[in-house]
Amino acid sequence: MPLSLRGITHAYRPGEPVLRGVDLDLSDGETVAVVGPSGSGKTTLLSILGLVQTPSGGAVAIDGVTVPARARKVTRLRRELFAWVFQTVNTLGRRTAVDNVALGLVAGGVSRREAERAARGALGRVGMEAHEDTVVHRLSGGELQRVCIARALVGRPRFVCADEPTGQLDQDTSAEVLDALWALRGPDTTLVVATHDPDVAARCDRIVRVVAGRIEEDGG
Amino acid sequence: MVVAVAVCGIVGGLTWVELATTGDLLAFQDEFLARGGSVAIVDAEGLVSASRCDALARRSEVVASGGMTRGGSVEVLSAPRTAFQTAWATPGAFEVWAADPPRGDDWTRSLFVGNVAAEELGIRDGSVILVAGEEPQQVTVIDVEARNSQAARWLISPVAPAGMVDQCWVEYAPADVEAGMAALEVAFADAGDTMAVRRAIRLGEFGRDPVAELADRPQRSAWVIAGLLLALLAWLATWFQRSEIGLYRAVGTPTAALWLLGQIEAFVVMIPAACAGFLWAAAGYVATTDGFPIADQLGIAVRTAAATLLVALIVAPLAWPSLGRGQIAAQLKDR
Repeated sequence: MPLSLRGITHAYRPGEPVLRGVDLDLSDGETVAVVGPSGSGKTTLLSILGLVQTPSGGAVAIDGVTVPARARKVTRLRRELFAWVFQTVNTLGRRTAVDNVALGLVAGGVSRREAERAARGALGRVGMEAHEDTVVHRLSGGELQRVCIARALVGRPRFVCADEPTGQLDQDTSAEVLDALWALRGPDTTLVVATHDPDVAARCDRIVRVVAGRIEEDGG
Repeated sequence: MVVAVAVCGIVGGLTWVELATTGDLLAFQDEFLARGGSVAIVDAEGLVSASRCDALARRSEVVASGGMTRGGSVEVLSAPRTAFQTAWATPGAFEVWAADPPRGDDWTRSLFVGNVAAEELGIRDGSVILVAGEEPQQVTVIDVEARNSQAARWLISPVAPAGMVDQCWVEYAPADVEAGMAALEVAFADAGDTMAVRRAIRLGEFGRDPVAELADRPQRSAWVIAGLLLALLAWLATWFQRSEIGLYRAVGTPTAALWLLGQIEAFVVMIPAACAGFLWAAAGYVATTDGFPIADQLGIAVRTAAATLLVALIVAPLAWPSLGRGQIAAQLKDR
């Protein structure tokens, strides 16, 4: 399996487990919705499979190889394989849309010029070509989220993790953002979305329901 | 912005303090020299050779030298019952005593009157006075108060450097005065037991030690604390950027690159702010003191300001990799 979680447990405070032994396998090209009530562990599960949170127990494997504990290797895997779209729009507020989208490429050692060219292309694909050089704190919530999607898109990641990507958007803007997000799909790109929104879940190939830190249901 | 203002303020403040302190010391040094700080007196009650005294002026370390002998007291007819001391001095002595010594035609007038005596007598440069028992004489008023306050009330006649005099006054280059005084004791050793070599300034008149004050000034070591304070402010500012750092980490930015980002941010903010602070302080100093700082003053101020900035520039960028530890997921929520 491209991405496997085995026996994942996690607790932010001792004695208060958020995840209680989660096993999950993700295939190439599938879209997966992680749903469940608030506090069920959706975001924690997404953070662990997206390598931005180290689990208290269990293992994450990519292509059958367990993700090592060494920070440098995890950083490289995160840079080369993963992309994120967050619920709270995480951008560099004082920088332009192009700068924000080029961020991951520059971090990966791509030349500034090449990164900017790719960033402009990605912004074009999410309909943001008119705002390429706008400082992002001047953009609306929907535009910001599309910048984040472009940032996820530009590095051609294998795994895209989206945490409540429409959580703070109105219905019309949500639809636009989801369209842009779904444009990321491809035969080699797995999209995992943690969401409360049934419409978002309905778009996915597979729905994983998390309740009280356990996967209660996993199916289409 | 807060960091930039703090850097500007602290570097500017330190620069100002350095310029003010060194300016005060330089003013003191100037006054010390003006009052005779590098002047030595050989005192031997009529046993000092006037020609040997004048000859000292030919030495490279000697600025000027001349001898003088005290006379009796006289009465000026325009000021009856007031006694004025008379004295004879070689032209070299006037060079040592006066900020603006007599030149050219002044020597043709036969009498010099100290500035205090001139004020008491109500006479000016070029006036003619009548000393009891002598011919009328045209006078030159000479200001000798700073170096020889007694002579400010004297009537002084210029004489050629010949015979013996009471005192030999020698002005040295400031760095040579100690060695020069030791050499004087040897040069006039034949003047007998009454001979003494001393500084022209009165004992206790100058209680300050500028060199020690410069070495002990508090801001000499304050740059370490000031630099660390600026770095602490930069760390605080970075603490509020944790979600930004989390974002960099989420896209796979290595720790070394985070450090580099911290360096860039520190350099971009701190160097222009420090330059602005330095220039502000220097301009303020020039405006309030009505004079430009000399190279040594600027050198000291630049060293202190640069040392402060260097400490801040070394420590502040470490905030990025240091605060970039821990779980990325938690950092991304820190807004």
